[in-house]
Amino acid sequence: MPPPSPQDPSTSSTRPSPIPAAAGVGLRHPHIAAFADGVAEATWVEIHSENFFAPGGPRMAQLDRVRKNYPISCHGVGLSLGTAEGLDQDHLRTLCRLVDRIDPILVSEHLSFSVVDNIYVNDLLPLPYTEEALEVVTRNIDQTQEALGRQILLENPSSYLTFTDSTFTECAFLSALVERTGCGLLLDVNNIYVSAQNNGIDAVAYLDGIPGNAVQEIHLAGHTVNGADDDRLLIDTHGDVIADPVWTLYEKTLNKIGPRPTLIEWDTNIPELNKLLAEAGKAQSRLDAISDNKGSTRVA
Amino acid sequence: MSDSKLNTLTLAAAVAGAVSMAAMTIPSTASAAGKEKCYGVSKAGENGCANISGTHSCAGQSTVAFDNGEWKLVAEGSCVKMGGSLEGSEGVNEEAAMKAS
Amino acid sequence: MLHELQRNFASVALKNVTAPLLPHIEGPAGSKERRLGVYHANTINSLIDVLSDAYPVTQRIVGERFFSTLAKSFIETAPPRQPTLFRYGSSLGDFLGDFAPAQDVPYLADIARLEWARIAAYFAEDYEPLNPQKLSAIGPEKIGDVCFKIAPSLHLVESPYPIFQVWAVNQPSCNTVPAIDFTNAEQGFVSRQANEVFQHAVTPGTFHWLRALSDGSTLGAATNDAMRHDQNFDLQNTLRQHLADGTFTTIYI
Repeated sequence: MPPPSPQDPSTSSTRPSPIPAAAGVGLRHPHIAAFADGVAEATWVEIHSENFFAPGGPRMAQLDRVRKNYPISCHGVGLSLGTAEGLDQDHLRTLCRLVDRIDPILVSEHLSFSVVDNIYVNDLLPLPYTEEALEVVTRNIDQTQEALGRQILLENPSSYLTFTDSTFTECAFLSALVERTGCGLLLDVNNIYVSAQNNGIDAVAYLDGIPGNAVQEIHLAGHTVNGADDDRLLIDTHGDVIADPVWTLYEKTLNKIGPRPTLIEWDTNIPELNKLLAEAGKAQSRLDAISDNKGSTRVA
Repeated sequence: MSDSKLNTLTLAAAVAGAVSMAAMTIPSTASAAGKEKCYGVSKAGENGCANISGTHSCAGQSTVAFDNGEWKLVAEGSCVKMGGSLEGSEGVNEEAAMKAS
Repeated sequence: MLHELQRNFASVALKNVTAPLLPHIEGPAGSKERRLGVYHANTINSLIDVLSDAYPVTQRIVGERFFSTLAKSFIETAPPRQPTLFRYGSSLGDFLGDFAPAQDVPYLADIARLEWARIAAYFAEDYEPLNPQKLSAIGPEKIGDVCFKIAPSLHLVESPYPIFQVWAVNQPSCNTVPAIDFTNAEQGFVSRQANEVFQHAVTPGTFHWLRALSDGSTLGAATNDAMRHDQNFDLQNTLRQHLADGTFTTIYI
């Protein structure tokens, strides 16, 4: 695969996805042995990149075994693309080493920040959508794509608030980043739903604002409802099956942009592997349905 | 080797002996297998602590409130049962040493 | 401008200091606090989880409630400095040494240090253990001058308390508990071989021998050091076991 030219969004954002539009699952510790042994019935898996930043040891050895059996996508949670003080170069180098080691099918990060004054806040903190933030994130994505020699996907965050400072909508902000950097998008449909509910935004309108051809991966996860009435907040816990309205929004997404590789994330209250794979099965049947409708064939 | 002054020949002989027997020596990881962990021999990695430690995730937490109560901070785990003998020189008896769980 | 806002957001996430950020958040006052609170809870609860995964025995000894309080206090003093959480919490042992409410459990800090040594061993670089035959190539007159490079996974731990025993009886799989004499000091090491972390309490002689070799002493000097601390130090058997355990990677003179 030739390295993308980040300056040319027309080629990189419309490039066919390097993986089939099939449903995969997030690789989590309780299930890792099944994947290392190659016995889990899954098409592809996604790791949190930072969990595999060690120079050696059993966890890395297991990852190598998983890689022999499944395509892997690297989903970063710590690069902090939104950080105003510039990327941690050590972190970026370690990410490059991991990418070299496992040759992932996709590399993604979040539209968020978590590093300030060299302190790492272990959460995906939201950005105000301003011209200044746009410049910061553009610079950081450019640097990342240059270091990796490949395109990255940027994930829309789940958020619990909005900033008075924002001058862009989230969609407009994401679209501008796609245009400026040639990055792709990882559309987290649960995050759209969670943020829309929390911030009084129309999820379907949000979907209409997303440049569909830039989307190369979709995330689905469960959320938790906290509080009621005026106090009601949805928390993006990744701790349950996917909620019905999120499935509905997923179907709308597929209808609009076509089938895309879809990943089930389950991070808290992690279930038996079968239950996780059953969620992937539900996504797969929707992918199959849309592929059939569009007359295209799915590469399994 | 009780002589605290070590001579070259003794040292060389001990090293030669160690080298010749090293291949037949059971590594600690293997000899620990199947033994009672409570006797200090651990075939570690099994308790999984390091397997999951420092695991990143992009999920939120379902608990959104803290117990910031003004309760007195007192250790209440297994130390409560073992800790009684800390000051004394006697060993803890089995019942007292039984961990809280 | 963005940097300032991010600084303020970090204060929300780590310390729940919300005032500077409130004017930047949409919505009614009560709602803003609650919304910011979600980020604080996410951050602190996830870091407490990270620490309790890294320190299961420490947590078991003091109980979950005490542990989460000490963890909160630790996070305030020492928030993560790098975005790799498997490295977070290395200084908890030192923190516990000064943490007043933990002084009733004086061995707690050393238990935490032992637990961190296990984490460090687990995530250490892979290495090729020393081929014992390399020692055979050294002439007898030179053998005392040999230095060893120590495996990156080897960590030495010592305590005035029997921490290896306390660690062992606090394993979930431990059903029978031998008596523990808390006046016994223990010293030993943690290492990793064939992807398995293991630990051993050793005699004072062996401990000093390992420490001297780790510090770059020659085999002769380290062995003398060991014998000063322990008349019965047995070089042949100690070296044999450590060759089998992959304690060394290379030798040099």
